[in-house]
Amino acid sequence: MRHPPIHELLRRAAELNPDGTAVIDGHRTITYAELDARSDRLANAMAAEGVTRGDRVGLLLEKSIEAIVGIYAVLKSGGAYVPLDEGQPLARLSYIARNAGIHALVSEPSRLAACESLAEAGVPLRTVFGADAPSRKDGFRAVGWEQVLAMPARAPDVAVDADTLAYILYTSGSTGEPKGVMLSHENGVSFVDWAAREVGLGTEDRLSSHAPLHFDLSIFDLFAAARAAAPVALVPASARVFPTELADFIRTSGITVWYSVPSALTMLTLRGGIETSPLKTLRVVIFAGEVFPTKYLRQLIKLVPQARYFNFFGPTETNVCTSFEVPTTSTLADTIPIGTPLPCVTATIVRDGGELAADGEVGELMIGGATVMHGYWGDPERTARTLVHDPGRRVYRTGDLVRRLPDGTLHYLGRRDAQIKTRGYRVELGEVETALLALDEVVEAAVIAIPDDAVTNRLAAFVVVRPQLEEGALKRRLAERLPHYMIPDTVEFRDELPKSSTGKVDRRSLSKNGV
Amino acid sequence: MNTEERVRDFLVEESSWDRPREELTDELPLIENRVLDSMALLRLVAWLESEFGVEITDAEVVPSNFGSIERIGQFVDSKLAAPGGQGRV
Repeated sequence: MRHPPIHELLRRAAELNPDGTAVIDGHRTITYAELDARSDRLANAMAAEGVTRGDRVGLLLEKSIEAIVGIYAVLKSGGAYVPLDEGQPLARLSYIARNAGIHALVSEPSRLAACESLAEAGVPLRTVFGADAPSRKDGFRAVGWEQVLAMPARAPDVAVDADTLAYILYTSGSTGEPKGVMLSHENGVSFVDWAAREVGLGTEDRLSSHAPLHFDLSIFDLFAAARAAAPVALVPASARVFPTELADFIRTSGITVWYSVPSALTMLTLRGGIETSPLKTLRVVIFAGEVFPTKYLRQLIKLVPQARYFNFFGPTETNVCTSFEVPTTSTLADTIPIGTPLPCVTATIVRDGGELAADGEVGELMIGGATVMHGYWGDPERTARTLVHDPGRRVYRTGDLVRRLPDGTLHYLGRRDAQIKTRGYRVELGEVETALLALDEVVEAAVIAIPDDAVTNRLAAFVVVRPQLEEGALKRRLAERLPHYMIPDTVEFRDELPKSSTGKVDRRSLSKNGV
Repeated sequence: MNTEERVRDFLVEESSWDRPREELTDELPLIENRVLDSMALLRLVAWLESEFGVEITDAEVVPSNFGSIERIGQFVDSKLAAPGGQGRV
């Protein structure tokens, strides 16, 4: 089944519900008609600055009304947006911006200095939109909102089809550099279309946006809201940290549909005070990104009994590919299945030898169909290794080990490789090890994941250093290369690392003795 | 060691703080600077309860008590000074 492009969802919402609120951003709101018009104007400003079909445009600003205007403007220009998480170190951001070939950014006045740093770090920036005054800074033009809003409110006529790239999301790469997952309009809309039906979204719903834009959970928040012509309320930074503020936010915003990583729900359950002030408006709670410890999920269901609960599963490369509705009336098993494949995808389980796994047998999950990415940006080799081209469709080797039970549900068992989850983020242990070994003093390094109830995994590093290097200094220098969630929680200094008979670092013995 | 110093030690060790210890000042806003995320906050609350022998209610876990090391120090010290507050040091 083919779908319209993502921004067509916005246009339809603007026709169906022009005065309906599209985005709630603190005390500010924007209607669907305004969001559509303003993103048209920005798309025209982008065209005037030479942004054309196929261009990648970076987003370097806080999640806000402006950021969402920026997203739709890029899509209407026929471009692909690339969220740049400002919490990440400059070295990593500039790598991503250079790798994606970014010449234009949507940003904000307070981040003009960050834009300049990117330009200094070798990103060939031509234009920064959303910066205050029209000026020429360090070779790039800053185009302010005043100038943008003077453009016509009719989108430029750019041909966009289902296979046009819509966004590139960078995730941790095992070789030490992040990799850009290329997703098309069809990838996004086929998921959103299914999800909106599955949870029965309507105009009366109120969605929340908890995940950052570089996280694919945001695809549901923004675009499923547009498909339903319903408002999405952006979770304020402080409510992301303080549980009772988060509970207040859900109550006062009247959120009906919640979607986040389990850890946000865990903190709400443990410290949100929701047994005394219940969350009555919630009717759907969706979680994804990591395993939800069943003991907390049970508590949450008890505290918010009226809601339906969904476990969405899928790596960024397949958006969401399987889903499970958690039964709330019967007792919950200790592990929740990842469920059954979306109707628009096929899930096959392949054993090590290459043959299909029978029910109950463990194998690697292969996902084919409409939600599967188009590859890794600028990396055909890696793409060829992970995307198998079946006649007429793409099949992604997830690297996830699963088992299908006779009732048809899939159960997640772990990874084939050294990719782990921590705090909802996906981390390749190899990328952390590479960053450690890039420090002159580090002679040997191994990073292992230690299972942790609250954050899924904590990272433990074992290093051999010459000459001496302090833990604080080591972490500081890592922070110049890695985002905070990839900095090891603990660092243990050793004279040497244990080796297996083949001379490889023996991670198993480290995880037994080291902690 | 006063409360602020002990909290600072905890944060240097347990949070995502990766700059020199002396830059983690009493006044530094912990949320804006991403020193505390939700999980680090929960660990901090649990640690304060066991380390200082105080009980912290959900409603007390708010920015006015946890926005900076200074505020955490004042909050914990006021709990310890309150009638019935039994501090273990």
